[in-house]
Amino acid sequence: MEKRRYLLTGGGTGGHVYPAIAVADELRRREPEAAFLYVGVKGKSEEKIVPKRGYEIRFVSSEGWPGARPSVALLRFAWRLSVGILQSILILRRYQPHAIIATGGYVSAPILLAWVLLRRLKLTQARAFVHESNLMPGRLNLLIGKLADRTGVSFEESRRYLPQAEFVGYPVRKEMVGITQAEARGRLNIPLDARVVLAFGGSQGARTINRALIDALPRLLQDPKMWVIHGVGRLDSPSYRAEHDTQSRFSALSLSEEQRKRYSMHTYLDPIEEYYAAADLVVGRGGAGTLTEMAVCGLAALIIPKANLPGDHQVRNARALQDNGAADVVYEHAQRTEEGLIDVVNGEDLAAAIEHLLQEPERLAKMREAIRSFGDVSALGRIADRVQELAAGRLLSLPDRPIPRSDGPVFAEMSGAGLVAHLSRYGLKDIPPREIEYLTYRADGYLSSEAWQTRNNGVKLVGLLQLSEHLDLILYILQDKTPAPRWQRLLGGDLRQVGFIRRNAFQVLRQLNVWNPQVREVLLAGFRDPYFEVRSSAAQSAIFFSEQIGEDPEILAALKGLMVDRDFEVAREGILAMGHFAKDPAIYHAFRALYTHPNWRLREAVVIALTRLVERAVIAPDAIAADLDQFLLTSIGFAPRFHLREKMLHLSQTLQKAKHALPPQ
Amino acid sequence: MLYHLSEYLVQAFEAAGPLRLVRYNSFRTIVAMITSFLITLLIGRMVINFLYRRKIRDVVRDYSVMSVESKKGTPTMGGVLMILAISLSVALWGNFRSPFLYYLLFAMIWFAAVGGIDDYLKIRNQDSDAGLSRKAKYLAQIGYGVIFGILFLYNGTTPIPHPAKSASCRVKSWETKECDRPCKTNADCKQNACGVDGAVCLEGRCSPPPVCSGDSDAKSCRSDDVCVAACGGGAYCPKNWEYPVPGNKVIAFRPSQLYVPFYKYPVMDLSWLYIFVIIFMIVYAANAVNFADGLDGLATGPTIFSFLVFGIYAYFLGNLLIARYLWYPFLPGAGEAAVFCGAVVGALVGFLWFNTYPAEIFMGDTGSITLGGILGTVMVLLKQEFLFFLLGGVFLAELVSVAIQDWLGIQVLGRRIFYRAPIHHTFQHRGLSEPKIVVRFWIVSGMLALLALAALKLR
Repeated sequence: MEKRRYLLTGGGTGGHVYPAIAVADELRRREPEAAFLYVGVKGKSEEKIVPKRGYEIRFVSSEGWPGARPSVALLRFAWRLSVGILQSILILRRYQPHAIIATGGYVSAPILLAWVLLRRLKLTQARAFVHESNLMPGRLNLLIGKLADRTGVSFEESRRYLPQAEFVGYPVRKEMVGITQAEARGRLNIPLDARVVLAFGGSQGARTINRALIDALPRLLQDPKMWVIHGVGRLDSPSYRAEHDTQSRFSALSLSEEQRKRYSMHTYLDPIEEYYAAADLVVGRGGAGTLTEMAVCGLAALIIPKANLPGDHQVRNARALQDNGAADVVYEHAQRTEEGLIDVVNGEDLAAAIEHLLQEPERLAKMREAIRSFGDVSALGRIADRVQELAAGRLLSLPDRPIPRSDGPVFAEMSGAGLVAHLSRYGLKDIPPREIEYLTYRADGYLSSEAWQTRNNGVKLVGLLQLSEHLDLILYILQDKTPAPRWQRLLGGDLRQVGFIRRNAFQVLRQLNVWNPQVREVLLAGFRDPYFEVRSSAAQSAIFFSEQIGEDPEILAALKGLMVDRDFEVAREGILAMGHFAKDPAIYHAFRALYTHPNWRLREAVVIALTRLVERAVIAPDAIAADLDQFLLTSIGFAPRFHLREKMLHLSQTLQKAKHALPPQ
Repeated sequence: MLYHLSEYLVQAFEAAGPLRLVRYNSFRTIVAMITSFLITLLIGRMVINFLYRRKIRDVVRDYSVMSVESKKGTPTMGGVLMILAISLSVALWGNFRSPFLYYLLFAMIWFAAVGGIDDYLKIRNQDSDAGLSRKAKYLAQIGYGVIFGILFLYNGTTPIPHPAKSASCRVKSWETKECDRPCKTNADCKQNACGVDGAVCLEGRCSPPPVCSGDSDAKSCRSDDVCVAACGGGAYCPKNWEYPVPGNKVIAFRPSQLYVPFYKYPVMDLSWLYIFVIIFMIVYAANAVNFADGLDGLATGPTIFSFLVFGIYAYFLGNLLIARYLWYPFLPGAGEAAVFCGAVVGALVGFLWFNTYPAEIFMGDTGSITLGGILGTVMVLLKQEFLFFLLGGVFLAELVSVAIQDWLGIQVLGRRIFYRAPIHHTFQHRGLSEPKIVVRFWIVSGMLALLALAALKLR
């Protein structure tokens, strides 16, 4: 038999590289003669991992999808990808692989696209196997998954997006299993009766987890049996230097020598299986790789999924486990910090969650049991089988399996605007608390976004979800006076928190229905806002909170000022509000001055407000009646009434009534 | 058809002499207007009923809760009515020898298809957002712009006189009494056509014979010298592509030149880049009319004025005497564009009969995009693109308000800049009632039309 050639691709992060390596290891075990070539992008995780595992690697150029909006990034993307495709064509033509194994990520895009092209031109014999490790397939795999000879997914549910895919599971390295807890603890010098928490944020590390864990340490280490192992990660970028930042934060803690001994910090956790085996509880991210490793090892897991990823896949992976009682989830949430609104996990919350779990050994045991069903050690063998079948040119047809369906709305699939539309249409009825928790997380993710459109959806969600505890954030947004970029201000923009956000924030204040001195301050500032819709929304809020406002002179004075606002819409709201609030009969002069205002909608508001004032007995009826003839009463605006439609409406209603009145025959 | 029929009859029977009237451009323009108006009136009611029965409208789901104020349920796609009337009228009165007609018919068919598909999708899904996607609409408009632009700029196909075409020597026939007989070859004119022997056929019309010595050279020329030498004094070589301007100057005319209102001379020659001007104007006109179609009769009025003015321009530019008098380039055949514009005006007035507040029928995208597309084509054909910014000031306001509000305000800045857009919704928001806004828009566009007519002479 001819020596087989396999081409592996995929990467960008460890999560895409490790499965490819695992499959390659398995294939090499089965076919020691076979040749392997890994294709990746220079400077990414694969550059380090792959050669260490003894595989040859070649580099092509590629870049992540920057979004469809026209931009420099989009041009660069197109250029890099085109170059990458040309490089890939050369590699495919020279290497002539029997099978291509792609594990997703933009790194695999050039090879796969080149393969599609050559395949169409009948210039390659290679078969392609695409593996998607996350529940929500990435953009590339959604596209290529339909063209590849076989697509494997790690979650049955993923077939909702890739119906032609086969459920194969996630390939876990063989070394993962087989170490006992006693062995591992012995090697790590941890007493057998200790309670060990392992926390790490993937190979790169995660700022949220690192910071939250350090904040949680003082409380956690009070328990003399608690040991904490921390994988900091090797991220070292200007915005976050994982090790340095963590080290300095740790030094700043006031801990005893004994407590410090029970905490250990590592850049890498290598070999990770040893640490897994030693741990009672793992705190980690929600990538498919980490989760499957945890599942195979049967670990109790507390997952802090990374927010705002493509398709929100970490959250969805984590929730799939949570739904089956296999793991607990702590969401990142938006918080005001000196760096602006960023996603954080509160240290206290994390400590509480960890303690809570460790205090319930039965629940931990159940979680360990439940998570095992997600870790399928046979996945690797199954994938290797498929690849070998492909390479040999024979592939069994896919068994017909029904595509899983979901009942009810799947919030995770909805966009921000979709969520807003859904919630404003159907309200919060029938939404279980767990989903509310998820939706809250979504709102938080949006609130900390840089793009105002996204932030705006976050603000609307806060109102729709009635998140009173987020009042603080809404007030922060309304108080944030950071100016917009200069070019936007030149075109009519004002603040970073754009007009729509401020307008909607006032609506949210009404929806939350909380009144406190801070709200009052914000309201007063709202009357002076440069954007007209904000001023009128503030005036509406004043009427909404009229009970709490009472006779607050400052607010009343501001509302009176609004009556002569240069913007008629605001002036209208001001007039209506004064009709609602005014206590002093002298206000009549202000109304009278508007009797001949050219805009009839203001005059209309005056009439409504005067009616209200008379009803509230602020002004004597005689005073108004005397000079009503001074009012400019023109027949200008009107709403049509179409008589034919009116009669038709009447007929139709009569028909309905008659139908109900008739006894059933 | 009537044009060609009368032409035949006049040639065949002496008694058919009075039918010569049909040949006059002005006459046909006015009759085309009246014809399409009458057609719309006659079949209007039928079309409304037909559309209503075929459920080409928003279907009222529950009559017991419907609003008595809204016009929901009014049949749409009324553009079909106009397209029918225009087609019939043009078929009757058009001279199909003129390339202008083909361009305009092509525009009408293309945009009617785009608008029709859009409307159809909206109605089928009972959702005003379910029509053609924005991208698809723009692509269709740009696609038309590219095709039309290439045809218009390319020597062999442009309806506009071009130096590449050589002409025959002629005497100043428009200074003498014109001969009345249409012809194909000189043989058709031989028998006493102009009261003299030896009349020749020039541009489909018999002319008195030039006093030419040679005969073969006289047929084609590139300069007056050749003609004077061949035919004697007074003969000239008609250079349609050249036109005189004050100060004894002559301007060589090319399709790719850019003209602006109130200025006699071409501003610059854009060469092939001119195609972008064409695409822009087509997309601009189609969308402007589309946006303006928001209130009963709002799009109809200003469109009537626009077609009226462009019709007058087309008639003047297609008439050698008037074009020379006004220092405009003479566009042979442009008179047929006037006939087409007349038919459109007639159809629009007839449509307004039913469409005026409260409307019994809406034109839909079938109407607005088609009218806009034709409008864009007419102004490019007459090379009066920039006149439209003045003449169609109402459309400009509508489109600019949408651009500023949606593309700048709502998408980028996160705020409203106007209360509502297009601009007529701002007036509604401020409390003006629908008929008032519509009539005011008509008044404004009428005034602008007068200004645009003033631009004929004021240069």
